[in-house]
Amino acid sequence: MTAVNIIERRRRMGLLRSSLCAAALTLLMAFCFTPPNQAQAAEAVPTCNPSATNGCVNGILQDASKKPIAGVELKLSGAESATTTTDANGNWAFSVGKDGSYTVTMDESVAKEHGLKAATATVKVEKNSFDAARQVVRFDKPAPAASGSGGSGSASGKSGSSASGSTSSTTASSDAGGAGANIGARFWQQLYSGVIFGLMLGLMSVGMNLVYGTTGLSSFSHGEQVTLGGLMAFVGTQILHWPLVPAAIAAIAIGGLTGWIQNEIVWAPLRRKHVGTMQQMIVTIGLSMALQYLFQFFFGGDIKGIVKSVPNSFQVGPVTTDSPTLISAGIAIVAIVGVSLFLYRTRLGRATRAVSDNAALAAASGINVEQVVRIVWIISCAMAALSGVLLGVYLNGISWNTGATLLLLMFAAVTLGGLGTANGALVGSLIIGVVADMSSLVIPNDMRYASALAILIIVLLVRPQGIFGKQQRVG
Amino acid sequence: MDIMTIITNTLGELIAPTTAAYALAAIGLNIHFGMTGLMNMGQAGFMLLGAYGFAITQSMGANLFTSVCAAIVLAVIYALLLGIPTLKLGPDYLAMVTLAAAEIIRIIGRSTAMTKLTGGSAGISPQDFTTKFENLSPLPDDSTTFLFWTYSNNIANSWWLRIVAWVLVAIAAVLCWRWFRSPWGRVLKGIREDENAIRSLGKNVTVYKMQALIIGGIFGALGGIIFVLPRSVQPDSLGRAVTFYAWTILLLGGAATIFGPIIGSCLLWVLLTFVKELMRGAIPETVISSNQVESLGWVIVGVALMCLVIFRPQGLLGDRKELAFNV
Repeated sequence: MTAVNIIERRRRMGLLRSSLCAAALTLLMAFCFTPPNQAQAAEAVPTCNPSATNGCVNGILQDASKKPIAGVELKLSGAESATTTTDANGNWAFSVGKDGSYTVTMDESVAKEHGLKAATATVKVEKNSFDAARQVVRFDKPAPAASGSGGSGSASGKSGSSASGSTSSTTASSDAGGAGANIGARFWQQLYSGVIFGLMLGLMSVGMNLVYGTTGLSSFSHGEQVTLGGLMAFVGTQILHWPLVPAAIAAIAIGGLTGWIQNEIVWAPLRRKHVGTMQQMIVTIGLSMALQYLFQFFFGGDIKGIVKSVPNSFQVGPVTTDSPTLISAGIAIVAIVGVSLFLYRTRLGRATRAVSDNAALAAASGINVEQVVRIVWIISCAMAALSGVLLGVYLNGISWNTGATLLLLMFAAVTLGGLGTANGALVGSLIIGVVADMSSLVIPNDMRYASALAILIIVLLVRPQGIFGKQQRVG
Repeated sequence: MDIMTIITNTLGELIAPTTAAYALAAIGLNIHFGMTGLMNMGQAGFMLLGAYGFAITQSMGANLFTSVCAAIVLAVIYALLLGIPTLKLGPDYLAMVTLAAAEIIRIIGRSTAMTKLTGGSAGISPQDFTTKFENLSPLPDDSTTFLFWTYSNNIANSWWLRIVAWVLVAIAAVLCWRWFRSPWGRVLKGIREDENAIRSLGKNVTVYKMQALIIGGIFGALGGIIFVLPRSVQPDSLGRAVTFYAWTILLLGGAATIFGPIIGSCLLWVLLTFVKELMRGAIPETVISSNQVESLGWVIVGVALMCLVIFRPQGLLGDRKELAFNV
């Protein structure tokens, strides 16, 4: 809900008599549409009405304070699969053809941000059963809860206009809670989650920027390194049943190993052949595509949870948090501080900075540039893997394209901080993380990444070298 | 498994409207990259804008000419907005900005707040924007079989659409052939090879780059229209992946050549469909599901792109000496 909407809503509160109980509204609207004639694959529908040939999985997505959440993508999997997006009132519905179990999933970050207890819920649909033909899905309980509220037979005369009206984002919501009191709490919560997200983004972009600094390559496949870390941790904890810490260490080791291997077999030979960085960049695009879909091939399209338990959340000042989140943030800070110490306090770190500054001069003064680049690749990929693990723990899961969706935010962070400057990337990431999360206070939630990308473009207009970049002629 | 169906399906891709749409997008990219050396990583953004411009104006009842103009105008404005901040900067910046801008368009287009205009993530369904195009067809309402291709004459994925699409591709190819030989094209090639040399000759490099960006973007927008005509306008079907496909097509056929994008598009889709159909037919569903076949298709494209750049950067038709590739 945007601030404008909230104000408007309060103004119109008295006028709106349609502020029915949300669940009842869904039920009423369910009668507006004629059901399809034959059983068919699941599909997203504005409203759903169970019949002999189809069942319904639907609900209203509300945050912890019972405010509707618009524009959240929900995935239906199970006997059939489909995808939908919640409308302005948080309504969503799937019409399904087959009996069986269905799981509805949303993005973990969205669930976390709105204080929902679960991002997935499973229900069992039976078309012929009076109570199980329609299943209402709720996300506010850790355990999947299904309240069978079968078609209450009342031939409701409610017109279809209420359903089609839901497309308008200015439609006032059915919520009557104190919106003004919430905005302050949400501000702090969003700021907090933005900082946490920024720290994880920082882990990724610092590594990416190190590679850019030493080799001049903007790696499009860095997102896949993040996904790889998360998925390897998933393999460790859920398939091999290791505890989280050894699984995470193994994931980071595998991440570092892939960095080393790809430098040896792809990037080092390309550099030796003096292949241009633009050309190498297209190779990273190919690599990113191949890796991403390889993940999808092996792990499928759904979200993989690294830890299954739902942690107990507690209140710290104005924000709600839980211990895994705090520990993840702590590890991220330690890792970033460690890399900074490495860069500024060790011989190798100094050599790395020298190579970033001027590779030819560094080579002339006796630094083994290839060795430095190799180490940078290993560190960068290991950091990406670590951030993948932390992100997977923080968001309760990782999927095949998690890294790819973050790639552009990494670019934005790196550009904002200044291409090739390690500390700039961290500051840029924090800013991008906070802006991305805070912007959902004023613009619809599903547009929040767009705001971060808009920053990227504005930065290039105003200060192309970024905050910490050296003032120089670029291009 | 029926080998004849596989071959028919595969050869169907050869003349499919989607193949033509990708060919158009790749021709646009060829003007950007092959001629001028601009790294446009957001061709899908141009395509999506073109598709939206066309479909939204159509659903509002505008006539076809206005709609196509609207698509082109949107592409021009978008190119100007992208070009002004980035064309003076290095190629990295243009790549990142175009990529980010294409994502912004997609994110905004699929947002619930835009449902009234763009239909949100469900998009705009074909009955809202294809009717006028279909009514324009001079062909009788029937279906025609030519060799082993049977399609309806006018409706949806039709012969009419195929004819229009490939005529557009042919026009684009002829225009490119003229432009590549013109003095203007030579300046563009000069910019690709050595920007500073051209600048020292007194040419305004940024203006030339902007012209190239706009013209390539217009081809992208036209490609977008062709892309959505046989299906619906769905923002997610015109995401980053489409740009990467277009790049693979361009590099497969050969950048800086006239027929490269067209041959690349036909070849990529025919080969990809053939491999996918073969896997679907030959490997039982229990071993590799049909979703996994889709993913494998992607893996193949990704690996092909890597191998092309590493081993044969000039593609099938290109001239290795001409394409130094170092932008």
